[in-house]
Amino acid sequence: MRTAKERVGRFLSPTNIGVVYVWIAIVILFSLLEPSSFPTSQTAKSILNQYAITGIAALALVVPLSTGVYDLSIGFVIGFGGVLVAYLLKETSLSPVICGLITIVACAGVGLLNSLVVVALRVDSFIGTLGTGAIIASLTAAITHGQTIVGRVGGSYSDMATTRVGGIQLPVFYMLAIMIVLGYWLERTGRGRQIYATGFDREAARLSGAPVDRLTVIALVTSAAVAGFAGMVLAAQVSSGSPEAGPSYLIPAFSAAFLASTQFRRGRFNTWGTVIGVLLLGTGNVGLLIVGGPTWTPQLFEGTVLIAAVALSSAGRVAFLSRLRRRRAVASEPA
Amino acid sequence: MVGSTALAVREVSKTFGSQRVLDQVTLEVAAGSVHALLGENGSGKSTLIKILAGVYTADPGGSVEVDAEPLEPSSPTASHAAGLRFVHQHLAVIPQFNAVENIALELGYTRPYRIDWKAQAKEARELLARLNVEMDIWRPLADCKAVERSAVAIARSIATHRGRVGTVVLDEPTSSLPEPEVQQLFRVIRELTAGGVAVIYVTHHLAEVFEIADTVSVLRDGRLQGTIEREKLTRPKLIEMIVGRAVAETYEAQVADEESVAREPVLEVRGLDAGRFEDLSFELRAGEVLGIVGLSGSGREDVSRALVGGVPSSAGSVAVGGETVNPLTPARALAKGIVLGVSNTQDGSAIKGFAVRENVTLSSLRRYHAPFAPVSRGRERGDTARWISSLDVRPVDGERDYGLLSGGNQQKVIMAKSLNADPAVLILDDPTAGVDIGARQVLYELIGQEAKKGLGVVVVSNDLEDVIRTCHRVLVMRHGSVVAELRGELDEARLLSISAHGAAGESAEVGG
Repeated sequence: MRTAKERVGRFLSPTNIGVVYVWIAIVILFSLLEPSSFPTSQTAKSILNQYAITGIAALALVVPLSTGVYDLSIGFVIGFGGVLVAYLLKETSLSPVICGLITIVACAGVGLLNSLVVVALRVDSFIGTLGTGAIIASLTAAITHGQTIVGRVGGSYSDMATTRVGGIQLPVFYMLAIMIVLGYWLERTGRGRQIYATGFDREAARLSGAPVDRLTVIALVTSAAVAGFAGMVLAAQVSSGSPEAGPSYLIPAFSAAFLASTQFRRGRFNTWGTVIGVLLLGTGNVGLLIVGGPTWTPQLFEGTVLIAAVALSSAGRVAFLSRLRRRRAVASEPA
Repeated sequence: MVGSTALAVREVSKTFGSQRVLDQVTLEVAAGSVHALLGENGSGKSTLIKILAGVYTADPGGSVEVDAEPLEPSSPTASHAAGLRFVHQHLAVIPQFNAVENIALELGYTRPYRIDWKAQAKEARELLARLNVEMDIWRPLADCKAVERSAVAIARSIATHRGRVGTVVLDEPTSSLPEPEVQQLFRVIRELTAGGVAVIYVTHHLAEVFEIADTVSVLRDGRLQGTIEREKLTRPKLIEMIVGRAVAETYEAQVADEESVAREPVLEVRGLDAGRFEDLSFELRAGEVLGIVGLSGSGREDVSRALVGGVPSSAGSVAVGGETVNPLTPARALAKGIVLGVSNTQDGSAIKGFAVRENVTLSSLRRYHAPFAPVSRGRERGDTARWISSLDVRPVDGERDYGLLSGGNQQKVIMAKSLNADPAVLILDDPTAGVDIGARQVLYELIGQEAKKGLGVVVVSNDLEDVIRTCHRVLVMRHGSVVAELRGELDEARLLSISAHGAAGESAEVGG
């Protein structure tokens, strides 16, 4: 049995929460560089508001990644969701709620298409979802004819993204709600346990009775539906449905999800770590803009942080394992 | 052409921790001869081979000599330089590549820039010609005969341009060969020895020993039991050397009397065709422990998974308690009470990266939560703690990552996971692979106890001790079919003989 002290020590170790330390270091650095404009509640709110949609996109990825499949189509699904809801608002007289529901159902349908390719046709998910992503991109282009859709999407519909509560926009709350619901599902329920088992070792999970194919379908439908929702929020935020939006969310979403998987939960993709990963990226990028960095710095930063955080955690793990081995060798020495 | 001593092992020992796995082993291998090395699993064969290969260093005091020169220091490079070559059971050829490409991959390319395929092909042809093998060198190995793949692996090992080749070690070279191709492999081996190369031939198949070997050495419990010329060898003597006692002797079984076994079958398997076996039928009664044995390649390997639908079946059915499992999938089988426990040496045993607790409850999660409610970690911890103490899992920590446990402790966790699912039928595949004697005893006793409580158990194993110690009845498989069913007093020698030769020839030679 472990003592409380050991447990706290383990929780606080860089192997476990290295990202948090990197985050704190970044906050301190920018606060020193720009003591008047960076460490303000204004900056904090602006980071949250700007990165909520990235957060939702990253959370969409957590479920398929936990199941051991990639979903590279989410960027295109975000674009599709935004365009579809704008199109429905413009071309029909349905209420915004109905338009939203239709959009989410349609995006869930994309998840079924992904499942068809990955589960039924046994195409590797990395390739398969890249292919379906291209198909969705063409569908998006067909709906828009390459034009940005405006109209009712800029009306009361956009309130769903722009309404503020204490200076914080609603998408931040959507992100937190999705984080809690998906986090509970993955980490607390039996289904979630089976999902993680499938992701770690599909064959062992299958032979232990987990319905691995069905779980894969559930994961891909969930990610597509959540990505579609992210697209709807995006359309509301910019008051239009743009065929260009969407794909740019893919890389930060993957970075944040992988960042979380190397930390917090011993190799498990997890929702709250993913949100911290997104906020870390957001803090760096917003901070760089405040100190007047050129426009290409955010991407440089994203790439560097991803590598640094993973390296930090694997260095810690190697040290930990060699310590463990030494201890075992001493223990097995004959008296 | 049997000549001087190519390789000599002198008083070699190897100790891991406090366990001595090789004890003063001495043997000599003559140039141009086939020297068979036999022994049960855990007898020390693979440790000896790894010492020869320079993977392990022997304990101080012993030595390995090649052409009367001591092999020092012990490293894979030194071993290779001394002319020792190794062809492993799995060959390590790339099936998508053809013979030329596979040989070139190992030997290097004749030109550093654009590959000269003509020169590479010439080299491949010459090597294969030395073994008198005629094959299509441009055909991907995946489309060639199994024996051709073996020939390419052997040909590759005997190329001399990185030094003279004195000894080739073949590790279970026939395990993946169909019967007719075994003779072709023997011709290749005879070509090899005719060229003066010594061959160490590791095998479980006794018949092969009488056909191909010039000399036979047997290891048991890390000690050399003897080295005998083939002419002086008889099959019963060989079996006795391997098994270690008079042929009629048996272990004391852990199982209950046949009388305590129920009348009604709990598991009925009818005409099952799957993987590498066909038409498997048997009944298992509650409280009965049934063993299924067979050499590798006999189809035994696929049986355990096929019984729960883990390997798709093309015909036949599996019924539990009179109800057919349909469709036959692991999830359905589990719901009906058929639980599979696969050894940690195989794929699909348990989840590395999960805590012990999460593995113990993996097949029984339903019990730990109401629909849509969270899993009760408290109850999981309680049950895990009980299994840890009753099976003596070390360390005593349910939150420990399963992947960090030792092999024996992993096997105990797999057993806990299977039994925690409350099975009506438990199927175990190699339940004691890599398990030491103490843990083995715990597992055998557990199987006996659970059977007495009414569990039907199928033990599919590579290790005859497993079935002898636990089973009422044993099915012996060979070439994809059941060739014998044995009851009552089980005898390792007899099981070994039937596995290797079938039921017909066995009785006359081994006796009873």
